[in-house]
Amino acid sequence: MKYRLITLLLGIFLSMTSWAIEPPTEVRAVDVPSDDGSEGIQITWNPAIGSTAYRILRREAFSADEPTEIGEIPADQAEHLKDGRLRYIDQTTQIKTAYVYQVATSTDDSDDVTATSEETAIVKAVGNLFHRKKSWILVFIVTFTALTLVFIQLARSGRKMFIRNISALDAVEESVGRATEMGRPIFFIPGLQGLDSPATIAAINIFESVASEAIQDQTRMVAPSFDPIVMNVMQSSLKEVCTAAGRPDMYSEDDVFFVNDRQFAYVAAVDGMIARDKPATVFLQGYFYAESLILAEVAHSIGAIQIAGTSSDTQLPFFIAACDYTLIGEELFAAGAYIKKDALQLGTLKAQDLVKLLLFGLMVLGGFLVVLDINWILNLFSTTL
Amino acid sequence: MKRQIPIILCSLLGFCLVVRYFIPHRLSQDFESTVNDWVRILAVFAFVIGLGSLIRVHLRRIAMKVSHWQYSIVVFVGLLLMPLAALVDFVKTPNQLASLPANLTSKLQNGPLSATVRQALTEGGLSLPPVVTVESVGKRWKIQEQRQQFATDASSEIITQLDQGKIDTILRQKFSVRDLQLPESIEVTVQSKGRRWLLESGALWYLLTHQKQILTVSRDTTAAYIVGPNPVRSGDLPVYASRKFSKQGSSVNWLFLNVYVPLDATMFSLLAFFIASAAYRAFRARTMDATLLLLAGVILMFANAPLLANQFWHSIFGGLNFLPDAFPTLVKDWILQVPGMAARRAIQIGLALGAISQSLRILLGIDRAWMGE
Repeated sequence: MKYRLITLLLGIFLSMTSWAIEPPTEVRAVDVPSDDGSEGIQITWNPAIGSTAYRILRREAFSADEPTEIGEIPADQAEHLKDGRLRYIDQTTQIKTAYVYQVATSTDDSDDVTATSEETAIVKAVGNLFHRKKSWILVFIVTFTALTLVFIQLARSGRKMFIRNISALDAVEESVGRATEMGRPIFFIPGLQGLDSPATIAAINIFESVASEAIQDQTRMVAPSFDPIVMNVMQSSLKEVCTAAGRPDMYSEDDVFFVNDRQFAYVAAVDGMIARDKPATVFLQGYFYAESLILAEVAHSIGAIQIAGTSSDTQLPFFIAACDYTLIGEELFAAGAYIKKDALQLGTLKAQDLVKLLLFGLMVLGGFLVVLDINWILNLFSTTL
Repeated sequence: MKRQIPIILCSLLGFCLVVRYFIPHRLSQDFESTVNDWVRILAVFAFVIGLGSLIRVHLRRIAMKVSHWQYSIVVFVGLLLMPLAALVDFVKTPNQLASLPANLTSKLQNGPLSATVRQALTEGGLSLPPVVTVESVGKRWKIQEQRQQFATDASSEIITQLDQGKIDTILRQKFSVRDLQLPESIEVTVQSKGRRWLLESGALWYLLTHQKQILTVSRDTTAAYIVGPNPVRSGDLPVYASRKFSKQGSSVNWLFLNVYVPLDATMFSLLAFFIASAAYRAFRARTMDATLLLLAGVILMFANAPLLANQFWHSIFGGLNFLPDAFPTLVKDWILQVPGMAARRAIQIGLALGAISQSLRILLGIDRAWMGE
């Protein structure tokens, strides 16, 4: 009898343990990193055996309220992390409000049968001061800047910096001379972006150099501008060039003027001017869009020499096909340093070349490692921010 | 000092904006937003300077009767036509769309539109967006839909779900946090896979755009109505569309759609002819490089013309079973995605490094071209 009682009790006990659900373990709640606080709080936990769904419970840390359910995820739809843990992101949080979380499990048998985890530590959603995923970009910028400063210092110390010939820039003198001999003006089109574009700044550098040669040869320069601020800067540059050349009388505000800020209206106006004034040389320097070929072809139709340069990789093929000389890729940005032969600017070019070499080395190494199934460098370059 | 101050300001602000890129905190975003607002304000003043230059140059050309001075008159005609049209639109009384009963005037208050007024206007034939606000403007009231926009991180799961025409749970949360309605019946239309989607449910819609791992949700203001005043002291208040959302057919819209847009399209269409003339000059087999360029151009043009790539190709080479289907298209894709893409990426890397170097020169005060020096 005694043994029957023990067997019965043991059987009941074993069957009860088979109904018991484990609560999720190691439940942690942390602020979502690298955000402004609006991305909320992420809750992670180890999966619980037998659980078909997880319910996320939350309460404010310093209140006496009962926890409320803020979300429920079926176990098969929960986000899995690389270490096997599950994750839920609560985006309904208020910034700087303290919360505590619990995760409850439930099974198909009955939603009432749940197991709830311990409360997490107090956590708040706050704005972060550094975006961790952008660390490598910061390293790159610091390296680039450091190399630039090193080469600037080397340039200041008198070290000669070699720069290869750029045929498009060597042709500037010839083209200005052609305009002088023909008695026709030079047109300079600085692109369709504003002063916030590096390509426009590079174009203005070239404009200064071309203007100084043109003014010395007493050739008129016309620069129709798409942006009023760029127009002002170019007017100021031209005035300084004329004054420095001892020819202030050659400066006219009407030669550097604003046309309009609509793409094809600008192109129509400039094409009309080119067709009527028939310049001997047309410079197309800056950032261009679809209108690039229209400008180049109209200039070609009146027999002008065209020297083009753009940072738009989609328009480069058109310029290469249609223009006499083209600054390809970074040659546009090197133009200022090349023409002025300024040691400091040449130093920055050398730094740029070195960084390019380093990147090239990384790419070759990365490609080799990918063949060996090591994706570290590949992942570095394809990090999602 | 006159030259140093702009350089110091430029360097300081430039480095601040570089540092801001790495700080996700809200204060950092507010700083960038403030700077952008200042840039927009300055752009308006810059435009005034540009307009002044335009007027001065063309007036001088007309006064001095330089060659082709007649074109300057055309400039002034265009310059004045649009503002005149806007003035005509401004003076014209807009069409009345509905009327608000006089007994409901007291229900108009600054803030959300009351249900009673909404019902009265809807019964009067006015179609209102789901979320509107009321604002008192002098003797009138403005009922306007608010522009809604927010940006958030875009996870690959959200993008994948959107491309499949579904809405991820996390995405729904992002809406509900901001008190924006996203009903269950909302449908997803993929406008550009991986980049642009339209969420629609009846009159409610949101446009989602994905760029550089940022998902921007926006809904522009689509309606605004003006209520009152009534010329008669007591009586129903007239309701009409605000000038910004007046029906098409107004003078400015007519000029834009029937003059500006066709002219713009005409200039753009010239590109087709100029491409042909440039190709005629460039695709001459004088050197090895030019020959390769010609061959690549011919292959791409051949594969892009369905008649040539399909019917013509099969009629000539259909018997060659060892060639895969759509062989011209495969060759075209290979040219574009392998050697073409390699060259393009090399140029893009060079351009990016060049732009960084140029920007560093400006920030360090080495390059002062932007000052006009």
